[in-house]
Amino acid sequence: MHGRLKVRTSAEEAARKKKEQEIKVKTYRAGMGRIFEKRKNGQLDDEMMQITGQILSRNPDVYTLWNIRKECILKMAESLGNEAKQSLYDKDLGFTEQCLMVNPKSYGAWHHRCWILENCPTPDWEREVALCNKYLKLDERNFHCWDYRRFVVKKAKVPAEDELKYCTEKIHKNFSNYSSWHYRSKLLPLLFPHETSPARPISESKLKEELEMVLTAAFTDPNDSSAWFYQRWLLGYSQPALDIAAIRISKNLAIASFSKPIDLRTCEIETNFGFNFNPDRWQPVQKGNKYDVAWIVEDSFELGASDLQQYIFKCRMSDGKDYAINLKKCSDGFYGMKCPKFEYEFGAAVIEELKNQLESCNQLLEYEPDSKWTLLTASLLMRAIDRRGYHTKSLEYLQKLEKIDYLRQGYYADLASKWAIEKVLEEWIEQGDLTVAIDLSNLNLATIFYEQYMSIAKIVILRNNCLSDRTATKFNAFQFCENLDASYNQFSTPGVIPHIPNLKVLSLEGNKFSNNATTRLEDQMKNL
Amino acid sequence: MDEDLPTEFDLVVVGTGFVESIVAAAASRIGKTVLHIDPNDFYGGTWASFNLDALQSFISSIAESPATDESKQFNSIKNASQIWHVTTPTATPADDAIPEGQEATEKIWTKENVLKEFRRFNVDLSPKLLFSCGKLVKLLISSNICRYAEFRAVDHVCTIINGQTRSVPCSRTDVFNTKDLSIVEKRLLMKLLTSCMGYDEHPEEFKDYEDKTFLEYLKSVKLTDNIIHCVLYSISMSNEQTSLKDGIDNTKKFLNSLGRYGNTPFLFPMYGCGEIPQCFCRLCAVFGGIYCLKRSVSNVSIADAKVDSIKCGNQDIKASNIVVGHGNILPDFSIPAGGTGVGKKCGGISRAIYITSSPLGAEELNSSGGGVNFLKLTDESGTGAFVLQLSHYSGTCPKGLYLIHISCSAKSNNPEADIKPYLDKLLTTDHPPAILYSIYFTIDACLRCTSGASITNDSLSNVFVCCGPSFELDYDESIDNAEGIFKKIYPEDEFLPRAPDPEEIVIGDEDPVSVADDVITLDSVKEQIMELEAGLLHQEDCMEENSRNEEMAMEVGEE
Amino acid sequence: MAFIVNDVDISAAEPKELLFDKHVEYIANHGNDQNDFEYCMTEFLRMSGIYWGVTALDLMQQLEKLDRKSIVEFIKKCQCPTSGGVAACEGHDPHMLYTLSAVQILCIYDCLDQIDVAGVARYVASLQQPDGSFFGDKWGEVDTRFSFCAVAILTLINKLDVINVPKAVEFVMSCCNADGGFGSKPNAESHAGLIYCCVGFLSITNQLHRLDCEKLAWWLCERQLPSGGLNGRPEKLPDVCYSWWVLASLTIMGRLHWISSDKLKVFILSCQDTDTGGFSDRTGNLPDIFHTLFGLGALSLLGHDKLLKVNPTFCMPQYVLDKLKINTQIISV
Repeated sequence: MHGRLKVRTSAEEAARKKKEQEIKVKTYRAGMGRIFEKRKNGQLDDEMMQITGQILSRNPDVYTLWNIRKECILKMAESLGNEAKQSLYDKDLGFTEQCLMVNPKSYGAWHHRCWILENCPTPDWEREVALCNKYLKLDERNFHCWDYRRFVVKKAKVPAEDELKYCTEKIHKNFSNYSSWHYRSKLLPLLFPHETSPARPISESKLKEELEMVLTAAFTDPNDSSAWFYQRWLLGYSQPALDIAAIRISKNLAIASFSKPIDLRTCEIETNFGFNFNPDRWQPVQKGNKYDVAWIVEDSFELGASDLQQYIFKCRMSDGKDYAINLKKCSDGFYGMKCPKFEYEFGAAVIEELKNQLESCNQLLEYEPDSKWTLLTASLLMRAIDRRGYHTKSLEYLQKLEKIDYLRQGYYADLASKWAIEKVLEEWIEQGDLTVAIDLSNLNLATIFYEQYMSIAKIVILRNNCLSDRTATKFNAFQFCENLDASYNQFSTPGVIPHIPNLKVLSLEGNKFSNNATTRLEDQMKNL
Repeated sequence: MDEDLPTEFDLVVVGTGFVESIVAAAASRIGKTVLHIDPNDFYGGTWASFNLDALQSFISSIAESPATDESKQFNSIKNASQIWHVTTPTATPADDAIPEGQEATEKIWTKENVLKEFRRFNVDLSPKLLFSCGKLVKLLISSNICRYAEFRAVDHVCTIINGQTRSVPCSRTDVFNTKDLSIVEKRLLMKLLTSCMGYDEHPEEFKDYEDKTFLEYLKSVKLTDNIIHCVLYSISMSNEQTSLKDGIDNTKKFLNSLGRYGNTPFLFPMYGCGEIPQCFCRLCAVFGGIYCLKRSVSNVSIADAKVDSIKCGNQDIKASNIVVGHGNILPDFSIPAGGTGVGKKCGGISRAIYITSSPLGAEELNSSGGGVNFLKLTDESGTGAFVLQLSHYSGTCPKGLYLIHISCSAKSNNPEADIKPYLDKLLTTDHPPAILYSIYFTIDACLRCTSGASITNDSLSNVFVCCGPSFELDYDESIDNAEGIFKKIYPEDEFLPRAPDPEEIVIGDEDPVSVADDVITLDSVKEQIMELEAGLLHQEDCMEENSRNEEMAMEVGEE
Repeated sequence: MAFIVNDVDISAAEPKELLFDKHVEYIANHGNDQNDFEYCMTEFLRMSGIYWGVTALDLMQQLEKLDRKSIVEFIKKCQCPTSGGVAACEGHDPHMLYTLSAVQILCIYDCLDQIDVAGVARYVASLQQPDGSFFGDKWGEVDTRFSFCAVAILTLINKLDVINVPKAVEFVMSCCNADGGFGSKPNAESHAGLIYCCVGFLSITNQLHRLDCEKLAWWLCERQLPSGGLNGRPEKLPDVCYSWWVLASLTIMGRLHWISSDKLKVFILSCQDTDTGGFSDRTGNLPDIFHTLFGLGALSLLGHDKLLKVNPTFCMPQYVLDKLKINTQIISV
């Protein structure tokens, strides 16, 4: 059972306890027997309330008894006037509080309270807010009580400002209080929405204030993780918004890829150059996926007939919005790509604050070079301030984190891979030349991100990284790849590299395949 | 008072001060018959609290009595003086000058209207604070005496930096909330405190500073002056000469008491420290101890180097053992002149008490009328002074007035002169207190500490002399003193085992315990913990655990 | 001073190997003494208790240690003929939680036809609300746990079409928080147990692409404490059941490698009771059947060679789902 310390008891004590438990079992059985009998006979009366009460006050998890109490109250209330009805409900409200004293985390007791208040003639919501204050004072992390608070606060029409104030007080009392930080993250977007961008959680001016507060908490006790997640949210950016990623149409293969997995078969595609197919023709690159980042059609397309100023590929997605991309013409068809946003772009005032914070972090790192939180924060701050300028430094910190916080080594390795790929990808997209290779060699990559953007590339070089079997499915996106260099990685299972239709050269030397596997691999190579 | 006392007791205790009350309670608790008397008409002796009227008479009586009255009573308090700094003002502001609906900005305090409120004062002769995890709190809880007392958590630990009175950030919460430190300073302070806490586990971190001072160590870890000041003087209550080991031990003691009740490591007994000896007296009485005030021992008869019986009023009472409190002396025992005590002495304290109409420090240190603030001042020579400021929330003075207590080591027979350098420090701050009334006196050492091992009483194997208040913040030395005496008398018995709860035994007319928001009753906290613990035991909930409860439950386990 | 570390120490004396036989014995004997205090007092979750035991034994390939016939009979008696829902125990009321447990047990025993499956579908459908959420029973408690139960039950009995799945998805997504996690209802704090329910829900409904995996998986991997154990929320103590909830969620999101498997294994094994068998929540505490299943389940996810492969979404042996031809979505990174 949760949190029950095992203590070896003397034989005497054990015997005494057993006796006591036997009595309890008998009493419980007798009580339950009586309850079920009465229920069968429709005797939903005072005695029923009494017996169920006795059992629930010891064990509030016997859910059926809460139901029976509700039945009793409904029946008893039928014949009562409003005032008497209210006092009946109030009495049971008192009872639930008694149960909550015993177990402040009883789902049954909290829900019963909700039920009473929603069914009684004159609920006193303010009193319930006060009750929450009391229980949250006893345990500021009791999520049942926080949930209940949100329920009653809404009913009592407490303004969000007041709740934010309450939250702030709670944090000032004890900032190691994830529940309060969480609530804050819900209230701020309501009270201080971002001036222009709905994708951003809160306004820039408020953001600055919050960043200060959360950094103070984190500096006071960097081992307390409550603040980390909140800060991460504020700086927070983790995935690009929905958009078209890349398009390529050649004579017999077309690929459309997107920043996020979508179901292209439910989208409407429109072009101004006569490339139109029934949505059903699109196939996800990963067979069997309903949602995928990259979709292909295999057919023969008439290309180059038209000569237009602009070649536009438009897609109406499930959110009802149109996304469009201008395509370029190339030797064997059309292509286009859009560089995703890798971070938020903050205003000058916030950037100033971020710079101050980075300065503080760096100062701290002089004293505590191995502080996990400071290293992670510093690297995130650097990315938010000047991603490209701090590229090397931020990766260096992640490398250090892999050692210091080795439990999460895999996380840092993946994050570092992501940042490393972003840099290469951004430069490649800026060049916009399909004949240039995407060179991701020697980057310590543990995995691949943004594979949808690489779906139109001819040459992908992944040489000398740490890629392993789990990443291989990502290669499904490399539909236009003719030359894939995955040599000197950690692949070990033969056949793990998926079939890539246009592939002409595949380098897999220096991987971890067994001898046996190599032969089979050679077979695979021959088939190219 | 009924004259008919039993004629035989296991223990007779003379004086109702802190040490002797503990011994009385401990003896009664293990089933000994106890007669507890006090020649005074009040409880507590040198440890008493007085209302203002009683205080004035008490001080006058001392000031008027001869310096040493060797025959009757040993004067534990001497060099007493008092002075009013206000008289009836020449002009009182007209009430109608204050606009309608606006409160009077500040009441004008005269001697007269201060005295009118005399009952609202509980002025301690020996004010003290309790470390939340200190010896006394542990004793109160383990012996279950805590239910007789209420406490207020000290609101601020203060310090004076560059003439400004500031709150020392001591808890995590304080460090988080303070505006006086930069975030890097916050981190460095927290790191320092953490590493002090880990001193025993990681002594290697301090290796290079073993023989150095705490200050040298603090300087070595790149702390700013600001932080060094707070840690050295306020948190560890040390000075420039304090060794690393002592500095760290003091710091640990401070930190260990944090986060338990309120925002600082200290508790102050509501209605004054005079309540504490009385708690023990109540326990003693619950277990059958008999109490008589205004009763002294008029004669003793001695046999076989033991006191055989005492004369108390008209009765001869046989006593197996006798405990004599600070400020009391058995008849016919002379006090040898001169002589110095061995080891640490009790007493030797210069005291000042001020009634002020404004508090020390700015508004944020005294929000909504102020609570209890503590300040440790240092001086070049070493020991420094304890300053305690009490507002009406402590139950020791009327609303709008403050009590400021200063205690320092006595250097002379002129307490005012001893205190002056410290008082000057307070008066030259940005927000000095406005003093209405001041008292000075000296608390002397007990017989034993004054005259070493050679005092006459000591030759009687069943007479035990208690120490008076020591120059210490908490009661540690006094508890040791009491336990030591108890163990000498009853070497085989347990010292204050847990007393039964009210539901286990019925106690006469117990006051219901007040659990006002700002008042902590140790007992009520314990109840809450037990409730939470009970909740934990009943918890079958599969989705949630509660580490906080366990942490609290563990506290109980330790106690 | 609040320099409190919410973690446990694992002494060298704690078990390091799986006490296989002890656990079989522990589970097989569970409930043999009908008058056992603990057993009696947990009557209100009996159906789940049986599911925990059945699944644990099946993962150890020792299912024959339990009496299939009496268990199936018990389930039949617990189904409510009117509503179609299943109760925890005879005399108690039907509830979503126990309906799922009952269906899971019957799937493992390959005898779904023993109860009124159409009734079960009707019961689940009757509890869906216009906003897509689900009540736990007719009394109206809403929780994402019940959303998970609903789609899990309906998938196992192949009747997912009786509810409005897009609405159900919409509701679950409305419970998503700034940290990427999920709570029990909209605006409720993230909690590893509920994250498991929501991630599992999305994996069943083939909607994993809606997750912000990076954010969420980071939050989850930060649940691992220096002892190796996992907690359910920040600054809480580790607990074996979170080994399951966190690990299963990470597995579904393809990020098992974001925590240290070796350290976790040490923690889980240290929670075995060397006397009686079974796992407890934490080292040194009393064992129970709930933590025993989740301890074994987590070890199976970590690839323990003495245990059958477990399905991370359903917490049932993978072979059972294969037999039912149920595919659960998993992300690869």
